[in-house]
Amino acid sequence: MLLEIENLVVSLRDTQILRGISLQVGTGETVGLVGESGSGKSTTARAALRLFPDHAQTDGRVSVAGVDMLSAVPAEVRRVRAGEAAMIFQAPRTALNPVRRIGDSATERLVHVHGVKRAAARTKIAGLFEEVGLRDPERLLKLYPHQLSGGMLQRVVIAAALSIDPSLLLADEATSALDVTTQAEVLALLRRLRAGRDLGVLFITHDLHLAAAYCDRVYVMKDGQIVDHQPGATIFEDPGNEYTRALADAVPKLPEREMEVRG
Amino acid sequence: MTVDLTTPVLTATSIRRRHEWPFYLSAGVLALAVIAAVFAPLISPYSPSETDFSAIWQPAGGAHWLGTDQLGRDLLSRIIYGARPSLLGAIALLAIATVLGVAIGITAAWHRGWVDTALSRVTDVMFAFPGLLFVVLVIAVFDRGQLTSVLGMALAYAPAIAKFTRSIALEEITRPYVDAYRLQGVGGLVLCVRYLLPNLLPTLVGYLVVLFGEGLMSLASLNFLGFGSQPPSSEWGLMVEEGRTGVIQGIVGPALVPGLTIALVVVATNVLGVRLSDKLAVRR
Amino acid sequence: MTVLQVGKLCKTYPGRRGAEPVVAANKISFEVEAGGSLGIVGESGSGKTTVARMLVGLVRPDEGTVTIDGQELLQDWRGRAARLRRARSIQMVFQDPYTSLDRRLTVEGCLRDVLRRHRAGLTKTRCKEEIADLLDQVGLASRLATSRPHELSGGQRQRVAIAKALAVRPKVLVLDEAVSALDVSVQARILALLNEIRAGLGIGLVFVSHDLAVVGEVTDRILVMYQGIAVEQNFTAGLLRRPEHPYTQMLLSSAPGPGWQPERVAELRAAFALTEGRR
Repeated sequence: MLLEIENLVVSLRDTQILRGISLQVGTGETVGLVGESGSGKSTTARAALRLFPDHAQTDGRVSVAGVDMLSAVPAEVRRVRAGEAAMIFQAPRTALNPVRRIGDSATERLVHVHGVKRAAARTKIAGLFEEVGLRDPERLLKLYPHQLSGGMLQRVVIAAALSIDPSLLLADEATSALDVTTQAEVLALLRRLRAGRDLGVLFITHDLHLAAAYCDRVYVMKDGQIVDHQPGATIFEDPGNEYTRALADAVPKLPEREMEVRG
Repeated sequence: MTVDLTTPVLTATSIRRRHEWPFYLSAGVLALAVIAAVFAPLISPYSPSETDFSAIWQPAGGAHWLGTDQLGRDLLSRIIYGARPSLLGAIALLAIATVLGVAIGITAAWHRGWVDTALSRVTDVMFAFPGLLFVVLVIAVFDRGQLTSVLGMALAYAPAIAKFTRSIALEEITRPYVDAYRLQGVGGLVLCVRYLLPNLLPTLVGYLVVLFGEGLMSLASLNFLGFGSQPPSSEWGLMVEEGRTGVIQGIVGPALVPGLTIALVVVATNVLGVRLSDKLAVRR
Repeated sequence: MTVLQVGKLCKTYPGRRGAEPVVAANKISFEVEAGGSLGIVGESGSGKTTVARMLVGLVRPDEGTVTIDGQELLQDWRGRAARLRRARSIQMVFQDPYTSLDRRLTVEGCLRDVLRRHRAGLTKTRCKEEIADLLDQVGLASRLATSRPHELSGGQRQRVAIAKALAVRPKVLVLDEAVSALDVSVQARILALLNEIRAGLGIGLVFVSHDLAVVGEVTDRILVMYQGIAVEQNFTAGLLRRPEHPYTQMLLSSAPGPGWQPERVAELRAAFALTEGRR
């Protein structure tokens, strides 16, 4: 098991943000975590890296690649953050420093955390850029974030995340800010990478249909608890749980197409 | 096992301050200064111009709590009476500079285009010119005195306020509620004064309070140089200048007392300004 | 009865530092009936937001006409009278519920401000009644009248924005991604509210969004934009069931649902880009 969360409770002052969450992500799986705002899905994802709000109190177990994040020493936590798990956020533009070149931002982890020489890091990143479908990587390294589109930036962020050879990828609404078509491209890319690198992916989204269509298994969260856990395919056929069904119903659906273009 | 984790983390919550005493202390200091300015005749032990040649250069203590200067005048009384010109000067300076600076800043931010370019270039030139030097030039042309020094200094400070205001106004104008007002048919001037400016105030206030302290320092320096207030005013900067003669002879009191007063008031305004900024920012 | 007529709207932005000029809108024309609803759909860069902003007067078009209730709006652009006339004909609800409200004002303060500007001679009592009416219309509890934006939820804030827009009694309401930032369940309720409003008040809606499924719930007709051009315009049901233009087809296939394969979408996207390049 790549990521194992057992009965995680997170409280801040008097409010309980998470009330006993349990979930698992294995190698080669894409696991969806779906919920509306305030459900606690982002907090859960951050828990994997031991990123909690200031003064939060926690209880339970969070294990990443065998390391118990809550009780590990800071050095172990840093090792996991630096080499085992990587996180991708919603808005690539806010994840990258606008006054630094892409090349500098993308190689930062390699150079400053892993001590790789700059030239070697740049070569590795250029290779990763090609892998994520960015053409002309050498030229891209010299550009600034504002010169790239949202979709391209997200690919840069993915490449940077992969540069440390993680085994666990945490995608927090990673495609929510992208166009539908760009979203599809980035997701196709993630699937390809997952297969090639034996990654496990925790895919957080508010879009139930996306999670159902893309993820192998889906956890549904509400008010800090997991209320449902199903394979993606069955959510479409029979949502089962009341909340899941309500969520599925609330989403506007496109009518049946008279000409099938979908694969 | 419940653990209060202290490994630093990403957080969106504000940093909670555990000590409030600097804020209250600074507010207290400033309150004292204001009381001194307003109620000087009532609380001052002596008259500021009352000379006593039998008690020149007395150290602190006894009949004179802070000692006396070279003419036997009570330092405490002079400090208290000096609060009025010192504070008034700084307030007038800030008021004039703010009105000018905010007007220019908002106009530049609202109109953009050539208006912005023209105003910004003029502001940049003014900003680049050393403030004190500019005021000295103004005084050379017009006569020395508190009025000219305050006016000249206000012109020197206005560009900084203009730049700051322009910057925060530019950011604020990108928020859609400004577009919403335009859609309601609100004209530019009304929008800027009635709706935009009040939203800028929280950010401006903190900045302006700190600027007040700076202004106080600058005016005190001008007065020290003899360009502003003239004797027998007991403005604090002037008092420092008058205390200079004693320093050579080893009597530091008459220079130190007003100097420390200025420092205390300026530090208090800085602390107040910064804390105010934090408080007002968090509320948003 | 046609309440909004848009004729050949054009807008080109000069390119930055030697780049090509960007055509945001190229001869966009459409009509909306009273109580009707038109969706403008496209990805980012399609020009749909520019069109929305041209309709309400935030952006000046290079060419074209916008006629509401027979009155052409773009001729006399300047002056207070023109501004007020535009304000009373067409209003807009923005995407971000929080930053589109003045954070200093309470809900009733906000509405009172609008009413005082646009309804002359309103007494204090009448004003209070109007405010209560508006809150009722948009489904906001009256106890929220004294709340400020930061005390409200996203859905509540959007309702305030809608109430503000309705206060001037416009003929047309433009919604620029107005539900995109809301939770799905809240979204559904706001869409229902919008349908109520257009049926009840006879206002014409222009609903700009990137989300076809959402647009399908709240519009009678859809206009699809791609790089400034209107590539397809049709009745909603027809367009969603039998899209004619390849771009529309690709857009429809991109939405996640049963049988959705991101790889297939990526292929379609690449194929479309190729044909575009050849054109």
